[in-house]
Amino acid sequence: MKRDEFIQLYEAELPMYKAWADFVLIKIDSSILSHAGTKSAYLEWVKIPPSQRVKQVDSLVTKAFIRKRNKYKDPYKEITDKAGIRFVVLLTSQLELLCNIVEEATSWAYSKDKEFDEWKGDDPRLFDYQSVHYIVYAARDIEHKGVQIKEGTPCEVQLRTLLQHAYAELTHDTIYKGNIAASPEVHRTFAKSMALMETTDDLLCNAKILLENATADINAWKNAINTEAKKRLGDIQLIDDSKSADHLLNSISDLLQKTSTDEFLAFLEDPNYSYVSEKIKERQAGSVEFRHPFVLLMYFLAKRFRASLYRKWPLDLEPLEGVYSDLGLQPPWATT
Amino acid sequence: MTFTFDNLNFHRIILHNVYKPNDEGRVDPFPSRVLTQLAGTGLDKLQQRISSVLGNGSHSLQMDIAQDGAASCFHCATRLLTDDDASFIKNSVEIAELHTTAHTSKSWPGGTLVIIDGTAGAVNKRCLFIIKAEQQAGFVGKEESDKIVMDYLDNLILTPQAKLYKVGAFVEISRESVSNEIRNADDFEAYVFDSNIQAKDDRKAARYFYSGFLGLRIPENSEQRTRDFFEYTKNFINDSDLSTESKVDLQQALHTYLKTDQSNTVQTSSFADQFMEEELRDDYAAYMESKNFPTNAIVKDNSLIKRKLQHRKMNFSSSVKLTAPADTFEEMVQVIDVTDEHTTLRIQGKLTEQE
Repeated sequence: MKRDEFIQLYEAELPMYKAWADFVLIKIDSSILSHAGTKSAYLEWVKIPPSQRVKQVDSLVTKAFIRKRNKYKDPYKEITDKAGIRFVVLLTSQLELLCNIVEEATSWAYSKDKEFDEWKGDDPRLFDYQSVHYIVYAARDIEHKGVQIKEGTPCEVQLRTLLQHAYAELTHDTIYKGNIAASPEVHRTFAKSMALMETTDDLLCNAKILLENATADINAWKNAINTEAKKRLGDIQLIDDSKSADHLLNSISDLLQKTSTDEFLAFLEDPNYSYVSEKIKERQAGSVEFRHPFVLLMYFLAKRFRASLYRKWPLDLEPLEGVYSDLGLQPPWATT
Repeated sequence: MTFTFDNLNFHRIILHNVYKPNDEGRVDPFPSRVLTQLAGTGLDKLQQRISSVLGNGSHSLQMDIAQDGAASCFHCATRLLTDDDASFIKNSVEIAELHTTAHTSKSWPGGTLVIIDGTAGAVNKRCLFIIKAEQQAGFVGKEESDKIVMDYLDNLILTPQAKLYKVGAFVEISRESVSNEIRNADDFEAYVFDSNIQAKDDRKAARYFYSGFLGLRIPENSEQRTRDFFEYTKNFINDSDLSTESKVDLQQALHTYLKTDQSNTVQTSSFADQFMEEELRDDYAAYMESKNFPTNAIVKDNSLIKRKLQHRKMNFSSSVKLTAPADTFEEMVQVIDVTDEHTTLRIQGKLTEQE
């Protein structure tokens, strides 16, 4: 294909590549969101808004006819990164989910990017640019936002972590795309940075696992509290304030270790305490604590830890006076 | 099992003032002729006053009903439960009259009788509460433009200061005799809270309220209950995860609590508060509750455990036994060191006899 034919064809197909990049991005993005469940969980994964781009005509021509002119027999077909999208997550452990999403989608066929693998090198002793590159090809003719996308249209999908992204932003254009041969010292310094980043990522992945284990108990309590509050205090306008709940649960963590969510649920099911929800409703005009989902926990803890609760209690004691009274418990502190 | 005063719901409230006798003898009460209206925070506080002195962990006592005839407080109180409002007002005055009759000493203060009917417990048992609230003096501070004004009050009642009110409660456990003119005492449980009962030195002041006025008596099972307290607590300490040294200390504390403590009553929570680490108190309370031991107080009666309290005994895994006088145990036997295989004790005195 001659250069002017090449340009003509690409200019004609540019809207199709744009539409395909947009289609792929929306598909992956909505899969992540449905996997995460909530917007805030989604944001635990996706740290930079996903981006899409289509190669400019000039840049494509440069790549096909100047920079890598000896590489391609049929450059128009072989250059697969005409359209591209990028997702940036926090840690390598999260990349796996994104890989699954890309690999399990039915709208496209995928291949791992050969070009990327080539310059990645296969010497494991090298520390260099890392991220996951796929090429996804439209599995059939698809119409997206009024644009026809032909079967087989390629789009490059880059999946990176924040650290990889930072490294890539700095190095990619200068070392790999530029035609200037960087000095060994520059290469070595970048390799050192990448080694440090991989180590950092390892440590952070470990730290995240440790953190998740450490907060597993607290999260179990939070789930129990919120589920039960929804179930038992349905007609109360509950306050959604997870910060106060976190503060409370942290302050009383050593009491929680002496009991269990099962014991909490058993208390709520116990017919001897069936009046608790009714009492909470009667107290709606009073302290704000009675509109928090954790109010059920207040009743349970008062019953279970009559003597020691108030010493650990991080909030105002006055609402506890009402709780103790409802449960027929003598409060061991000086009451009002 | 003691009754739990949870899920309190007050129904009707009436107040009558009662006075101490003067030189001429009794002084008639000043009765209300209408019900007292109380709502919101005020009602909530009044319920808190009741639950904090009758509730789980409080110093209240379950009592036996001694007088249940036509002229008894029991009868006056229990008929209020089924009275309409007019009869409730009229008949509640009789309770004030009964109090005045029992009030024979000028050294006991007058006050306000607060008579309340309501329900308590998960299954809403009907209850009748009689509070005798003594008047206190105090001040009220008010912010006014550029100053805070202080006003003196000499008729405060029912502040959190529990020494200044007494409570009697009749709880309807069964309605078997509900059609009888005078209810059967078996249908009811009676509870009393009076800080005077705890103190050994003022038995008369206590007796006038629970006996002379309410017609109650100390339950006959006090000696069994005291023995139960001793046995259960001893077992709890032995089975706990505490160090040997802490166990020795706590067992000694149990002897002290029962033998030398000046209180007239025995109670899980007061023993825990005085001698146990805070972390242990709730576990101990749960253990005692699981043994059906009252969550409030009992009257102390050591007659069944007199001999047991005289000696401290120690048994070792190797079948070695040691006995020592309880009073001087701490000085006579010192725990020096404890391992899984050995216990090093230092015993005062020299070996005089052996068999």
